[in-house]
Amino acid sequence: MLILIITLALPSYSPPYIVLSVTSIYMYVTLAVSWTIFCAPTGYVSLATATFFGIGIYVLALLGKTFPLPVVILFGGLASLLFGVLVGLICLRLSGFYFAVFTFGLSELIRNSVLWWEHNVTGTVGRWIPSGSAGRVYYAMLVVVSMTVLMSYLIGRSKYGLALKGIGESEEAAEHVGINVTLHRIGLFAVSCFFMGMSGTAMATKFSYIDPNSAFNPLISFTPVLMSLFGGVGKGYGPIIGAVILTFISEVLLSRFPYFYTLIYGIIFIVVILFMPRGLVGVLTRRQQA
Amino acid sequence: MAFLEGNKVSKNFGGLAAVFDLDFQVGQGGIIGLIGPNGAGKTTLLNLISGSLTPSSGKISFKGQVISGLKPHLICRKGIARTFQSVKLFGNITVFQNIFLASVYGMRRDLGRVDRKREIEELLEFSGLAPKIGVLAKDLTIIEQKLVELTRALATEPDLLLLDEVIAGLNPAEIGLACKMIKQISDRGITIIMVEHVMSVIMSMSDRILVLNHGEKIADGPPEKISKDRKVIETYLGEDVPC
Repeated sequence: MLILIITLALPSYSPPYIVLSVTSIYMYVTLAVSWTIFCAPTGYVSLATATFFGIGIYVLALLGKTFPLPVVILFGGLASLLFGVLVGLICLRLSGFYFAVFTFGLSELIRNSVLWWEHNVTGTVGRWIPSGSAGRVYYAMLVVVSMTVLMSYLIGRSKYGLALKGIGESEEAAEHVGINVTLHRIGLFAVSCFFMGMSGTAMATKFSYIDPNSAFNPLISFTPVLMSLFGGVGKGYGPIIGAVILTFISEVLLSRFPYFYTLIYGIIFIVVILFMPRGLVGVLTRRQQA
Repeated sequence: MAFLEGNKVSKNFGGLAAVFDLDFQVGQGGIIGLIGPNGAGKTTLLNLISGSLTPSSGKISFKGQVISGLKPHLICRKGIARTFQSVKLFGNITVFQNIFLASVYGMRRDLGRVDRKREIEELLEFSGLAPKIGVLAKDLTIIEQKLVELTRALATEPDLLLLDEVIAGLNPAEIGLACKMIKQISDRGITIIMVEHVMSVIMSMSDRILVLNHGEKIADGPPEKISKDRKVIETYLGEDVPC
């Protein structure tokens, strides 16, 4: 209850810098959790998070002045969802490794296509977009992250979540007990895209200026993967812990050691992969069992 | 209208015909043994019936409807369930959840939460797995895993059950247990097609035996007739029939 009040009232008593940091924690939690919704049970590694996030950003850029923010965020999610269905139809028949490569290629293709489009058709690269106050972004992101975490929890408890686990364990057995494997995969992929898109739209109000390289930044594809693995995908709260801790660390590093930031970040990550292959959650549960 | 019917069914892998121009008819009820040397096309035939594979030509119909070309999950919902030559369980979820998935997705009836749970518990009672209900499937012994697979197939409420070498890798006591269960399933009115290499089992369990060689049917009839069939002895059984 106390935590709830603290989170809800944060923008009213904290400096904008803190508010924005917490907002970006929300953003990474959203991305990590929505990535895990699809990738943990199915075993597919998607590297196209940036694409769906970027679609959300562009939706704000195009519609931000026409509609109120909640509606635009919803549109951002829906646009990503539709594109997710399309991508799912094309490439979810690929097996694991090829899927990862394909999604990464796809996100680069989208980035370059939009870049090409702005160069040759609209004639200007990048654009100013309607921005909001730090408080507005904060609350928008708070709503999105809450929805994402709730959805992930509900899916994990539903028969769909169980069916997806089954598909991940043995696709062949799953289809022979009556599970529509393709439909489940595409559906789940689309749901995870929906939340990525919403977070893109919500975050975009903070950016005020975007171009294809920042909107479809490949780092956005990789960071949530790292965060989820760092936290551990075995439990629902793993990606949340991972995203919170790593975002916090990177904010601190960025302000204290701006030149060594990526280096230290990389070292932390290597250590985690080497010594905690199941992530923080793996370490915690092992403690409990021992 | 036959219960299960194949019409000039062929399946080619590259240039090789695993099943060639096969006609077969199976009536409802009873146990049908499917035997033949390695590479005869037995598993391929099961895969064709269950929808893992689509015939290169010909068609298969079940209860009067053409099923060849349908996706496996749809064939399952029409009432055909199967087990696999090498056990394929959902290893990291519990025995109960394994059966639950089959029951929720494979069954054509809609059950309430409480009824579903009771149904699953009854099934696990039937297969003797009740004490293992909360165990992760991967932590079970081979025989237990095979029983889970069998129970999972039953949970979809099939009319036709395809068994691919259920008793392979089991010791004599376990074989007895598995055979007893297969008989009980058959007594429930479920038609069974079983592929098996242990002749004594096939001969004693089957009401009818189908013999394949190089993807073609070389004999079809009751066990007594098959064990004396010249062609079957030459290609498969050998001179000293081990039963």
